[in-house]
Amino acid sequence: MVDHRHSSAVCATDFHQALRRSGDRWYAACLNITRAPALAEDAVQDGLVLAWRKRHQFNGEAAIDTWIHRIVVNAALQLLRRNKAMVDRGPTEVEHVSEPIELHTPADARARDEWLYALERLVAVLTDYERICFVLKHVEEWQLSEIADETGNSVNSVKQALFRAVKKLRVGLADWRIEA
Amino acid sequence: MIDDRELLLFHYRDGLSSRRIRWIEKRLKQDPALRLRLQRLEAELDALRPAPSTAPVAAHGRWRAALADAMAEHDHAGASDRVFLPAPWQGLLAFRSLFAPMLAAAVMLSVGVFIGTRLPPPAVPAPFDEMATGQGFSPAPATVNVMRAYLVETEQRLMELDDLDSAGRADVLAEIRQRNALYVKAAERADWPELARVLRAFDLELDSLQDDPGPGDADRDMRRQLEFELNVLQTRIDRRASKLTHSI
Repeated sequence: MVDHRHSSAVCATDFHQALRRSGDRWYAACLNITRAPALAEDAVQDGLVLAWRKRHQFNGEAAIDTWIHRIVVNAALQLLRRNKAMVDRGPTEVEHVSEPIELHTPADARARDEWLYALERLVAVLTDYERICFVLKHVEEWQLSEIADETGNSVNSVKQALFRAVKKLRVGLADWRIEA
Repeated sequence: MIDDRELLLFHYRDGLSSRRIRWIEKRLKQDPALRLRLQRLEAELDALRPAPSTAPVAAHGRWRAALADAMAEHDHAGASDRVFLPAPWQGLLAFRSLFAPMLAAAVMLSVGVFIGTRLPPPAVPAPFDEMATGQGFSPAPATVNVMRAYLVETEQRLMELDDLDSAGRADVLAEIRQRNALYVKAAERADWPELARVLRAFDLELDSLQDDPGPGDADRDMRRQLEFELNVLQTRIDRRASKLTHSI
C-alpha cells in the first residue's frame, strides 16, 4: 500500500497523480450526491480547480487525495445548493413496510449485480436531502454535525432525514429480496 | 427499549452520548435478540453501499485540461504584479508570456515519441536555447512544475491510447487537438510564428494517430531518440529552476 501523504508543499505533479489515482472515486462520490453524471463531472472539475487554488492550505495531515476528495464533495454539494436541493421537506410516504430480511442468503455474484442495479432505482425514491444525508453519513462517513453545518440544517433534522432514508432503503431491500 | 434508529446511530457511533453508547454495548452483551437485530441492520447497511462508478474517459480529459489551465492561470496571475516587482523579476515575467508555446513545444516532443515523427529540429531546441541562454530567461519554480506535470501527463495519456477503444481515443485526441489550437494562438501572440506553424502541422499527425493502433517494435529506435530529446528538454528546465531557487 502506497502512502500518498506528502509534506505540506504540493506541486502540480502531485495533483495530476492524485487525479489519475482517485478521479474515478471522486466522480463516484459526486455522482452519489448529485445522481446526475454531468453535475458530478462539473463538481469534480470545480473541486479540483478550487483545491489547486487552495493548495497552500493543505497541511499534509491527510493524503492529498483525501484532502481533494473532501473539496470535490463540497463542490458537489455547492452545485446542489444552487439547485435548492438541500431543503428538508419532511417525511415522504413509504408505500408499505415489511420486516427486513437477512441479506446473506442465496446471494451469488449475479444476485449482487442485480441488487446494485436495484439499489440505483431505490436511491431514486429518496428526496435529495435524504439522499445527501445518507450518502454523506453512510458512504462518505461524515459526522452528523458536519452534515448539519454543510447543509445548513440542524443535527436533529439530519438524523431524521437519515432515518427516513435508511427506512426506505431497507424496505426496498426487503421487497427486492422477496421478488428475488 | 432500543429502537432501530438508536441502533443505527450506535452503528455509526455518532449522535449518541458516550454514556448511551456504553449502555447499549452492555445491553448487546446481555441480549442475543438485540445483537441479532444489530447484525441484521449492519448487513443491510453493508448492502446499501453504492456500486463504484467509473468516470467517462472524456471527463478525465476535461479535468486534466481544467487543472492544467488553472495552473497556467495561476502562473499568469502573477504577471499582474509586474509593476510592483523589482527589476530582477522582469525577466521572469517576460518568460511567462512564452510559457504556453514552450509548453506546446514540449508536448510536441512528447507526442513525437509516440507517433514516430521527428520534429523539425529548429522548432523546439532553438527558441528554447535562446530563452535559456539569453534575455534573462528564468522560469519560476511554479512554472517549471506546471510544465513538468503537463509533460508527464501528456506522455501518460498518449501511452494510454493503446488501452482505449476507438471512441476513447477520439475523445482524448480531440481534447489534445483542442488544446493545441489554444497553444497555436498563444504562440502567435508571443510572436513565435515558427512554433505556431509546427503546432498547426501537429493536427495532421493527430489525425493519423486516430486510426493507428500504436507504435510497434519498428518504431522503438525512433521512440528512444525522441525520449532522449524529451529528457534533454526536461533536464534543461530542471537546471534553470535550480538556479532560480538559489538566486532567491
